[in-house]
Amino acid sequence: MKLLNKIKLNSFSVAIRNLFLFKPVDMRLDHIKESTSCSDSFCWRTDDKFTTLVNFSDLLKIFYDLKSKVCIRIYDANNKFIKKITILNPSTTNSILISKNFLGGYEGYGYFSIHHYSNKVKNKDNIIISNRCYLGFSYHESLPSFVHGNAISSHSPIQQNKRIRQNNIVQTSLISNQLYKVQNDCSFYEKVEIFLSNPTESVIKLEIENKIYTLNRGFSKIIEIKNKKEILIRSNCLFLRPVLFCFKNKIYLDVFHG
Amino acid sequence: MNFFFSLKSRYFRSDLIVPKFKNRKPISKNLLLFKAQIKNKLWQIKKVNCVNNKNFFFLKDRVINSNDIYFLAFKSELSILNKEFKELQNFSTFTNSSPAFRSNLKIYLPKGGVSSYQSEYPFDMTKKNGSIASPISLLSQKIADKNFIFFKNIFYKPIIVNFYGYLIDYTKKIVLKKFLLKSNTTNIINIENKYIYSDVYFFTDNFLGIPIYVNKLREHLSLEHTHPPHEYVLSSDKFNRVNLLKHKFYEIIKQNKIK
Repeated sequence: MKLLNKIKLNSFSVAIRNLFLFKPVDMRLDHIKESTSCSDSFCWRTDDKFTTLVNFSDLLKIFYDLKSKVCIRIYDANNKFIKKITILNPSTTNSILISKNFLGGYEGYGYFSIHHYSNKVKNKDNIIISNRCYLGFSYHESLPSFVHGNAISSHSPIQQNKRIRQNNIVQTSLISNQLYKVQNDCSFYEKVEIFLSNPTESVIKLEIENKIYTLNRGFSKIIEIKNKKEILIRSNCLFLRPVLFCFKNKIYLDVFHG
Repeated sequence: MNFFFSLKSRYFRSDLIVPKFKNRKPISKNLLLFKAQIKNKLWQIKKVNCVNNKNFFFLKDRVINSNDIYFLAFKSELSILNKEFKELQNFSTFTNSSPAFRSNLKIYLPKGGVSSYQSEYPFDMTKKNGSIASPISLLSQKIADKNFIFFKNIFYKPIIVNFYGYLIDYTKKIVLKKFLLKSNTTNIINIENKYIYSDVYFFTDNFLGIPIYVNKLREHLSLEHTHPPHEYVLSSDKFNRVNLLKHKFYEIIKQNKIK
């Protein structure tokens, strides 16, 4: 049985399954063999007077009673590193505001990751935690509109002496045969933007409203949608779930994951 | 199978949009929208007549009852129509999908303030008793005029019974507040600003549900739910860890002897 599972989940088998859509594998954690902290590629925005409030829990304290530190690494839309924040001995829940000032005047968008570290955790403990965070997007100083994380992307060993991060949880296909249709009619809103971030180690090709986009590793993109009744993404990524920014009467903002 | 629901409040209006397709599949024809409601201690199933197009069913605020639950089934599964059930059943497998099949639950105000999230209530969750623990400061906002938790419970038996919810300071081990809640109901809890700080959890005893947070500041709204604790731990010890956490809350309740 173990051998059969190994065959079903080796890279070649997964590639074939995803190519022919035969029991496709969208995400996998089976290759993670040590205590690990997983993170989404979380969206942040400081463009057009946006700010991003990041609320998160100290998972190692809550579930394992361990002192830890939390690292948030912020990247721009082209995966260029901008800033690292380290929180030593975090509280049960914590908040950080990503604003233009916080980023030294940087206006734009991109993704950030959040990982937990502790030297009290051993590899053999096989702990896997995943911080899903809650992001509050404020537009022109409005009340933040909250959305939670929606897809794990990177993982990093919890042991503090190992700082390797990999984005090999979400799987890809050799061709763009993956459809993702948002289960909502957004014609209620005047303007709709979708945020997409490449959660994989590979290059992602995607098609939206007959336009082709390429997202390199760690790249993210905001795309304005014209046909708000039917939002369809075709790509070679097995789990490319967008965050939607919907605007009403110019000043009201609704943010949710698709 | 997933159920869908909406929220009713004097503070906002609410619409529900139920899709006729899965994220990764084409539109399914011959789908109907049903609602289940408790009448005479039985689940009564009715077909919902509402505005719809090729992609969606649109349930507007005026036709929604906060405690009704909605689900999709095919015309061929019409045998359930107008029948009464002693328990909720897995009426249709159409909404079994990965990613999870979701509707859009939207709240809004007359001038344009709006917030929504992609919502669902899995059938398997209706079959279980248990507790939920939700850290309130993650989705409550001190700057808001109003902070609410809408706690939605759907239980497979057609019963409306009382159970308790608590606000608990996890670090100081104090029960701050105790609420009476009802099963098969959308319970509304007003969160005062003094309770919005790092260590405070909303905790329920004996019934599961979805804690949905609503913040309102003048004409602006925010709507989102917290994840259940087991979604934060992916390793094989996840249920042990979550049970240990919940046990700590039960101990705090026991020690505080709140009546």
